Amino acid sequence: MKDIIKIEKLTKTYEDNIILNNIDLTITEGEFVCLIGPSGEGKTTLLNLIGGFIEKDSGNIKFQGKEIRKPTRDCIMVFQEFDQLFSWKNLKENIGFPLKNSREKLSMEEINNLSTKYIEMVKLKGFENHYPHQLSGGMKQRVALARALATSPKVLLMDEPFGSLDAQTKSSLHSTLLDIWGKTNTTIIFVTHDVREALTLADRIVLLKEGIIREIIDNNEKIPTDKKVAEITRLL
Amino acid sequence: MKNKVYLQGYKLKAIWVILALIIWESIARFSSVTSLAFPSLTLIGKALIESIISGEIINQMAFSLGLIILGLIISILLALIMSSLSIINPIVENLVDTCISIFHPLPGIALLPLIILWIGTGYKAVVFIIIHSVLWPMILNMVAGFKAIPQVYKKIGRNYEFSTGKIISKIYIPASLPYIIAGLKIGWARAWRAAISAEMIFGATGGKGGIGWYIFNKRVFMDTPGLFAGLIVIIIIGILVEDLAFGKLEETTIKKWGIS
Ligand SMILES: Nc1ncnc2c1ncn2[C@@H]1O[C@H](COP(=O)(O)OP(=O)(O)OP(=O)(O)O)[C@@H](O)[C@H]1O
Ligand SMILES: [Mg+2]
Repeated sequence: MKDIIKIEKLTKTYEDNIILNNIDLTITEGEFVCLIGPSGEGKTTLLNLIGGFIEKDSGNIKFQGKEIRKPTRDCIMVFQEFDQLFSWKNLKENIGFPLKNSREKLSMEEINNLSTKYIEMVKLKGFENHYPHQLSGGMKQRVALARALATSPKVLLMDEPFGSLDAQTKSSLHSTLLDIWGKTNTTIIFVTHDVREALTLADRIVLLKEGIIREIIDNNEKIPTDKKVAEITRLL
Repeated sequence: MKNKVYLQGYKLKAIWVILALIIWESIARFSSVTSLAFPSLTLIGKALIESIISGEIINQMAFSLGLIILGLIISILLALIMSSLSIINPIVENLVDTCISIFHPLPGIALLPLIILWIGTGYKAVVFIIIHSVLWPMILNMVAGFKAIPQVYKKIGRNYEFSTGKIISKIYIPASLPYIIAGLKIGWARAWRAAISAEMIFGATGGKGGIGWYIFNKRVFMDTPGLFAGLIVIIIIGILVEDLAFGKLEETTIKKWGIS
């Protein structure tokens, strides 16, 4: 297994607050990693750093051996906000939009085919012409996921994408996500508050607290027993 | 349900208008006011039909609208450039802010003497006044719209490696369309008023002075029915643009997208 993201001695401060303190973390290709931790402990900050959206103070963050300096199409972010969809574009246009700017110039037909393929993957067939305001929260997050996946990023950065959804919608999105992840070779870094969600999805759970990585938990079975949930919750 | 309420609103409005026309006609017919000041509806109607048939009123209106559209297009382009530069570069932003503080409160008509001195009284002067009236509120709205764009849109633009130009044209402009349309409405209203006032003062060159010059001229010749005919056309155009054109624009964009 090749390393895809390598973080070494990463430090990030805001004014006088040390948010991330000398962090080391290596993520291998195709891995599903969940970042959990209490609110305000730097999960979003770490994801933004990996995505190249903000600047670090010191240390290294490498993508396939190269320092990350700005956002690229290799690492695509999916956000928690429902308004991450473009309100003036319908579902299909939202998914096609980034494809129009891809490095390998795609023809209209290829864009159309890709959009259709990913719409089916996230189970939204029949809603192609709907505008975001006509979709439910769960559907919007499915679109956001499809839009990100359609560009075939190497890494998917997900910042509590299902954070504002009800349990049932969440769980159906979990199976969709795991299903797609199984079919592609995408590496996923997924931030969540929800221990049960992390135990459902992740190969490894990274617990971030007080600026450092407190614990890395292997989770190969992906079965969120109450016992495991309780154990990890105690660490938070 | 909603449509019904609308329709009733329209019916009521029609009743008010008819009532006003009846009162008007009664005053014109039965009081001692001279028809020079208060022409009867038939006289006005006749003047309107004549000026339409002769094509004069249409020509003058077309001339005015042409100037306004030209002024609006130039203003929108200038506003786009200045707003875009001003969100990219803080120094430009400061310059644009300063210009707005100075010029926005300055009524276009107050600039007339200066414009006559610098540009003369031709159509260019009218266009200049229109641009001055439209540009500043337009920039204000555009910049406000750009600033109100959700942070997440900007991040997505960067994430997919769109160039700054594409981020502005493909994301900023559509995302701030509610603001831009609001700016357009203000711009239209101001341009319309500015054009009519300016035309009255500048007069015509080669018989073309616009609708403002047209009604002003009617008074000079004491053709009151003709003057009213001109006013009616001005009112109709105003309603057409504000209710129909802008209504349609909103319906096919921001209302459809659910962001109005
Ligand atoms: N732009 C900024 N300027 C100053 N401080 C910031 C900025 N962004 C984040 N912070 C601070 O950094 C800390 C970590 O924020 P971050 O958003 O990464 O937390 P988080 O773990 O994602 O929290 P949550 O679970 O609530 O989303 C917080 O204390 C926050 O106030
Ligand atoms: Mg966060």
